[in-house]
Amino acid sequence: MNRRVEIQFESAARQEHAVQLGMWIFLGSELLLFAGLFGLYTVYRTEYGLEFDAGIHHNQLLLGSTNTVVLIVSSFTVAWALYNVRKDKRDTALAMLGITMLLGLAFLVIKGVEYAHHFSEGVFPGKAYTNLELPGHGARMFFTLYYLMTGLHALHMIGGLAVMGWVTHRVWTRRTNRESHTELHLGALYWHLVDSIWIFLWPLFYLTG
Amino acid sequence: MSESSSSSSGLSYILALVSLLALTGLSFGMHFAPLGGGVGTLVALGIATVKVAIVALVFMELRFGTTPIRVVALTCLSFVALLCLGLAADVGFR
Amino acid sequence: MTSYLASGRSLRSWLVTKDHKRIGILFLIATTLALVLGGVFALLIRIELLTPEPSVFDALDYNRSFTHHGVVMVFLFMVPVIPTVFGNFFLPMMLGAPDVALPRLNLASFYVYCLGATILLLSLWFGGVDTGWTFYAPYATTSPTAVATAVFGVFVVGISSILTGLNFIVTVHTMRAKGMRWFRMPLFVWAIYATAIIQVLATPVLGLSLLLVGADHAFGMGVFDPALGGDPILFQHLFWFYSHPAVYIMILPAMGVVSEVVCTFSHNRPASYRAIAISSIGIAFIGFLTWGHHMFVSGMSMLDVGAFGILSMFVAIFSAIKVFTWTATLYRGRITFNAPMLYFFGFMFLFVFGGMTGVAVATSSLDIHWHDTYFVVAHFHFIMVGGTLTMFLAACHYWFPKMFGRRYPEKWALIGAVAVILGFVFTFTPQFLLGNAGMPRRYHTYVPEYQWLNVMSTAGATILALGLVVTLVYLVHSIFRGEKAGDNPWDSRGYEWLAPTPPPTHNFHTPLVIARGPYDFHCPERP
Repeated sequence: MNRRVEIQFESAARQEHAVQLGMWIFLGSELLLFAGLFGLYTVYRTEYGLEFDAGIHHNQLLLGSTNTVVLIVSSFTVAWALYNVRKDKRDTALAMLGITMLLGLAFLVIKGVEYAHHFSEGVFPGKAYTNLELPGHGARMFFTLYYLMTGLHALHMIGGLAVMGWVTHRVWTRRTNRESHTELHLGALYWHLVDSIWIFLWPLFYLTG
Repeated sequence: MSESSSSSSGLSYILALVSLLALTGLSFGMHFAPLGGGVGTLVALGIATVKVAIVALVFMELRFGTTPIRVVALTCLSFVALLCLGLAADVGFR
Repeated sequence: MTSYLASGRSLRSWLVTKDHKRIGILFLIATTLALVLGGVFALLIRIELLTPEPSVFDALDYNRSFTHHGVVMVFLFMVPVIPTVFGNFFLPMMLGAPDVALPRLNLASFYVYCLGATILLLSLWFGGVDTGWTFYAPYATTSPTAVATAVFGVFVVGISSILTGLNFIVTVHTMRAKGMRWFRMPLFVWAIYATAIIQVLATPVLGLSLLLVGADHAFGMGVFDPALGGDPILFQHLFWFYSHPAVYIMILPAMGVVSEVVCTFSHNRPASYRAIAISSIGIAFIGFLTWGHHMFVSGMSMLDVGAFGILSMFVAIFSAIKVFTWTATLYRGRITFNAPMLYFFGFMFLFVFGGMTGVAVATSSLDIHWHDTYFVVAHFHFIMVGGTLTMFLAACHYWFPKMFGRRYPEKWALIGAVAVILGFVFTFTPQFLLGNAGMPRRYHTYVPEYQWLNVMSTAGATILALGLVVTLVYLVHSIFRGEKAGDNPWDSRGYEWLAPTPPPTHNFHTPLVIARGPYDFHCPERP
């Protein structure tokens, strides 16, 4: 165990537990940040059921589903990277982290293509909404929530990518290794959380119309 | 940081990936099945819950987590449910 | 070993410190500044209300000043103050730990607080906010003032609150000294722990709903705007889902201070340790089920009105358990009347009064009469000021010797305490009468019949302010010139008093091994 144990901890195991617990609490508060939006979605969908259905049909199922597969595979690759770091297989781990970041970028690109398509149809959030095909408050609210929830999620993706870049650099310079890989572990947890949120966003915005 | 005993095996990661992709496919297929709107939504959300459970238990290693970590995860989830239910209850009975 | 005050005297050594005690002191300075600022806004309100007609303000400036008073007091003082100051300073010491679990995060929390406070104060300076501290939609989405930046500032302060709460939960779980079982933790730790749970669970929801209001205001998102199909009541739901538990973020730490003070100064065990500890957690959880009682007249469904009314009354049960247990702790104790104990007696009166009126306004039929009147204003000030502020002052006095190694002057403290408590009573008791007579909140004019009560209230506020100024002056003076204090001047059995005075950087010379409870006055001082 060559990881430095900070002075306030009596043992490395305690320190590891503390850091893990802290990360889980942080993830919990991230989840609750999204909870408000999920709550709003629940209410507005109850209120504007048919218009939400129309909005869901309007979204491009294929792009959304591709993104789901992309994120699920990226969750696997980041978990696989951690697995390999623990097995001291640095090269495989680096490859997996590289794939993870590429998949993350691919997700954002696909998302961007979707947004661009929406913009071209006048589907903007809030009062900027000018789509004539789906008029009315319900459709507007659907797309406002769509932008807010996928947008907040995309911001988290960007944050996750930054963390992954930093962790990859540490693996590359061998500062994250078999004995000491807390950063990778925490980064992976964050990535999985962002993935999990998308797993719920997918049915809400693409599937259940 | 202890090995093997408190982390998933390689096989379990691969199994998790396969089942996640299979569930995604199932959910995609159900979209075209002639279910009523409400049932379809419930099925899709049910599948999503199973998927997130797999991510949490295998990829995030929650099944090896300490009691406080499990309590944190459960509490946060139940508070998300509480918020959604509380809002829905008001709107539903208004 | 040198004390934490003497280890490095440069400004830089303070600004980049990871010592939980120094971070506590930094927070003490920051939150005290917020208290002064919020107090100035309060006095401006009271000056305007001296006369029925508009005198110093027009309506917009009056709206700004009560909003600024509320926003600064709630988000920059009441919510953070006791956890970040005394929680930071004493939670690790009470656990027998050398520091919090995540010291870098702790310092980050301070700077995030400063950043949020700066954004908030700049937005108040340039443009101000006139929505009330609750930022209710739809008005907040159309107000001409700087709503978007202000709510962003509050959001950033919220991040600081989450980080502090997270740190405390982890610390309590992983940093307890050998022999420190859960039911040997001091009651202050239980209170801070319960508070931290609420901070972590509720603050993100508030942050999000404020960001949405900001987005509505800045970009016309329309999430809460009826003109765009939004539902403004949903904002109230999301807002109170946090902000009602936030009331307990403000009062629970104060209850923790009460438990420490009453045991120490009656030299007695708490009448029931478990009742106090468990009721803290009980309040934390039941507090999440009561948010709807702020919305009885907002057009909520009658089912929710009934449910939230009943659930709200459960809070009174847990609070009453605490009040009775504290009172019973006095029985056959050896009571000494130092300043913290005076604040305790003041607290008991004010808190019970505020709590009883709380049960009254939780009754929906009565609330319809009192809603948005000065009755509600008086009710929550009895809890917030009478509860939290008095216990903040009690904590300042109680832990002063340990924090600075000096004594405060007991005679001046007596004068300060009497002025604060009497001033408070004179400020807010008339407001109960005003509210019951029908005077609404948030108006800068009123009918002449209400004037004598308003004048009395302003006079009380002046006494309260003088008391606070006196307290501030002698405390600051004592930091530098006070009489030297011993390690345990109050003859307490709390673990934090086992450290040298003032404590060295990592608190204890040798790791503590706990063999007795924190209130075992029959045992010798050393564990």
